[in-house]
Amino acid sequence: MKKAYLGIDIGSISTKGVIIDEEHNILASVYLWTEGNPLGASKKVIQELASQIDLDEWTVVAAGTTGSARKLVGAMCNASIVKNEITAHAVGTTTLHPDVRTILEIGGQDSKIICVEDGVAVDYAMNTLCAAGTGSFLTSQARRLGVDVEEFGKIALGSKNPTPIAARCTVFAESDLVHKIQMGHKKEDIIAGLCNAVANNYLNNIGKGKKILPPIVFQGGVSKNEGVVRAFADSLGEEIIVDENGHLMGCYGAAILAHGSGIEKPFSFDVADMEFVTREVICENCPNHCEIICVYRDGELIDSWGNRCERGVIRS
Amino acid sequence: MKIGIPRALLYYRYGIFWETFFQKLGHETVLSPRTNKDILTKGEQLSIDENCLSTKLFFGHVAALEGKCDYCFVPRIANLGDAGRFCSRFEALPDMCSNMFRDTGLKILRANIDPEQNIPAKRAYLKLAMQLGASREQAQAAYEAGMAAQMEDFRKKIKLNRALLKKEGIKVLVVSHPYNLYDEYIGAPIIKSIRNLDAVPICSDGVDPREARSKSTEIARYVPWVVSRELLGAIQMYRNQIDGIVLITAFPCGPDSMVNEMIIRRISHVPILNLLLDSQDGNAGIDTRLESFIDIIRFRKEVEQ
Amino acid sequence: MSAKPYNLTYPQLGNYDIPIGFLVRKGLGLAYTSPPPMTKQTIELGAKHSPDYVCAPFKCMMGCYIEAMEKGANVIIQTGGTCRLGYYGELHEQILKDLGYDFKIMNLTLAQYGGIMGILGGIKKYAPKRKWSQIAKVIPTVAKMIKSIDKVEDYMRKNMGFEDIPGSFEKIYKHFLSKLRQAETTKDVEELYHLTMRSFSRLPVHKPDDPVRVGIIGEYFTIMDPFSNHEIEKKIAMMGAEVHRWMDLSHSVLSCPDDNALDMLRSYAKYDLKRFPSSIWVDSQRKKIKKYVSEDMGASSVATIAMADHYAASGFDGLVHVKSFGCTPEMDAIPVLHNISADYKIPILYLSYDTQSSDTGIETRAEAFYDMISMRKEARQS
Repeated sequence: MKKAYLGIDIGSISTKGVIIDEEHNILASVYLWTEGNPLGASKKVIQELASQIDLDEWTVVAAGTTGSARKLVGAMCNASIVKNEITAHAVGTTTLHPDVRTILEIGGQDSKIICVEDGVAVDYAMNTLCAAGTGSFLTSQARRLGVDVEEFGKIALGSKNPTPIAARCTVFAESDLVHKIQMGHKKEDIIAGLCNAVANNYLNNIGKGKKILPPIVFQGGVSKNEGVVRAFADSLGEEIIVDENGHLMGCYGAAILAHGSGIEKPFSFDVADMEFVTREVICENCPNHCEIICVYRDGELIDSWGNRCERGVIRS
Repeated sequence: MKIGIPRALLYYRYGIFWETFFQKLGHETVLSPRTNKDILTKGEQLSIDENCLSTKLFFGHVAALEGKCDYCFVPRIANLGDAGRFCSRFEALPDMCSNMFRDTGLKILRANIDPEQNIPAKRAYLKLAMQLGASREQAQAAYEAGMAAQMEDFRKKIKLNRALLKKEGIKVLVVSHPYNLYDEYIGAPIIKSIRNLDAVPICSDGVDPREARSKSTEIARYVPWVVSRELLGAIQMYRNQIDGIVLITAFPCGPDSMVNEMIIRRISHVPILNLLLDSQDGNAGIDTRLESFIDIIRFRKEVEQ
Repeated sequence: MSAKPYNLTYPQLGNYDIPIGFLVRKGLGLAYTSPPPMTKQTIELGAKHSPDYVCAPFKCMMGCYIEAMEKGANVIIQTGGTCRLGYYGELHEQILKDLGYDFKIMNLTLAQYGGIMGILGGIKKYAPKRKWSQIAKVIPTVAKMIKSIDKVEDYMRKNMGFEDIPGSFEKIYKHFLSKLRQAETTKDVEELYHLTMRSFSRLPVHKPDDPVRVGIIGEYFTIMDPFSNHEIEKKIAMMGAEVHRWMDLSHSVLSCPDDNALDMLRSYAKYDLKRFPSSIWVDSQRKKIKKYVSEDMGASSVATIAMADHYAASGFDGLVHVKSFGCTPEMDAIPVLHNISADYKIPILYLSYDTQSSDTGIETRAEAFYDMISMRKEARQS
């Protein structure tokens, strides 16, 4: 039996998983929608990963999770390491692109920039305020315009005269957008304007004070949008690399980190068949009213978190 | 020597003084162009995102002077002694500029005005003039010429407001920092809209600043900022002669975040419209709000008559 | 109101309610009510009754005042400051009066009292029968309390991340705070301080010779109040870092950073309320950052820059800049911090808090930041 490592990235919109070998080659990979059910999506990912490899040849000795539901899924699959998505993305991307200097990333809720020197992340920044200019913002604006968000990029490329849109803040952006529609601006111009706004807002906010050096890799859900890719290329005057496996960087990084952790914990693909239930408990011990999440496996409490102090500890 | 002056922020308070002062000393002054799309874009690129629109525009104006002058004039103006303080941004501007434009060829010409630390304006300007090679007499003359021009401008603005107040129709006091009132991308379109709605816009800076500051305490006593005091004073002085107040704020202006709340809580009987501006592109709906505001005043007046 | 005896309160700021309460009770001889420790409810209450985009400390203080008055306080204390803080008092008063509270405000701003004598007179008004000597007598104890708190917390920040027994530092710290609340004399405070530091030094730790070192810089209130900054120091320390922070009450209002006694004396003699709280350090710090800054840029910005430069030059692995959203002086320090970051190649994590900030968001950023600087350090060492 050869050793393998599992990585899962559970984001607000999509869930991704990979299995890698000790040389960090990808043996199996899966990408699907989270659909508001991180546990269910992760189970599906695990099932599909299992079907892609020969379980008699490989044994998963460590699992890593990342993304916004990393704790929850980490508890579910007995993970060796639970890492935030920024670190996981940096590790994944620098492994596949050892010469990268700048990683731009726009996901569902977050956007971030990572500066890399000699394969090591040396500086990073993340959006501070609200979800303006992220994937979920684009999705909601697409709905307003009656367009599928996947179509956004193509439509944007057709515009010759993008409409300026203020996208610093979601509230301001929405009222501006509605106004521009009512004023009679063309749909493709508005969409192109939104794509430009996302890129410029990103550079003016997250990219402020950072040296954006090539090679530049752009990833996260929004990197699939050609309109935003073009806006970045125009603004920065540099080639923007979009890896077709870009969406896998987080789970790939998580798998590498699981390997690097040196902690081997038994992982069983049977978790896909077990029942996991979460329960939210509001701690009444002080006015903070911490929301404590308890995770149960087949009725048994396996983990809990969310309490700010010891008064809210719930033990199994 | 060519001295660049950014057409933003305190230019709208001291610009005439600065131009006269430098010209009198025998220097050429170069003013950045009126705010345009390029200036806004450049300013947004340079400035951190959280800054107010007025500050972003300022940096855009400074950038517009790159290569067009020998020095760009960015004074530090901390306070006016007993008359009050300025927003701390005006203390920080020269050092912000020297750090932001460090890798460019732009050279900053500084002056430090801080009466609280015993550096009154006059002394600061005389020192600056002498640094630029003028004699004490020349410096004194330039300072006085500048002050005279400034005073003349104040008188003109007050006279204009007096004439406007005599006009028929709905009179709206537009209350904002002068750098917002007159900027093409902030206040100017709003003032134009008010005029297009057949109302008479009256600018809050057309008052004697000293009188306004002393009147301001009738609304709020402990406001520390010079400009906020003058805005409050203008409201106090004109409140019985106007039909409505429009407050224009560049989000997230520190002094306005508090003083506007005070105005809304303490001024009754006069309708107030509070306009919060983020970026020129985001001004959608302002016309609609202005129109309904003026309509409401008009209906009220008709009912009263 | 006149029938009721005065009962003073000051908003929560770290653990400084202990010395402030002591000053009011023992010095002025008046009742003092500590606002309850801040919770989510405090913030929600404060935000609900504050202007939308005023800085977060205004909202926190608003919440504290309301909760303290519900507990019986009827005189609220507000201080001045060189930024927006200078106008907090009058607006707090207006909003709270509009809400129907019956109280007085001890608004210690210069705009109200002019100079130091005016301010002292303003304080004395509430304790007319008290002798100045009685008030002055407690000052040394108050100062000792502040210094003890600051030194104990400083030791915690630098060592708690390496403790062998989870929670061992916290346990001693909690004991220290509860005992400090009972202290009566300078001697009590001194003994407690020494006992605490001795207990700390006996705790087993596994600190490497060259630990990850992080400096915390930023806005006056948010940096000193762990609740407001979502315990950023503790979060980072517990990941395994030595966390340094210069800004505290000892450094900002009590002890002058000048190197020799003469300069120190001169700074105290020149004490300038108009520059509160930066008067005693702004000039000496400004000298150290001539490379970047020529003038005072307002409020705590000079300290932010000076300490950033100091930590960077001392080879720290990273800096964390904290401020409330929209804090003008701290925003203005950022272009300088960008240059310091580039010159020393030191990463800086910028955190801008408002009352909506989520704990998860802060934690993710802090964790990623720690990962990055610790991986970078490892890569350099190997």
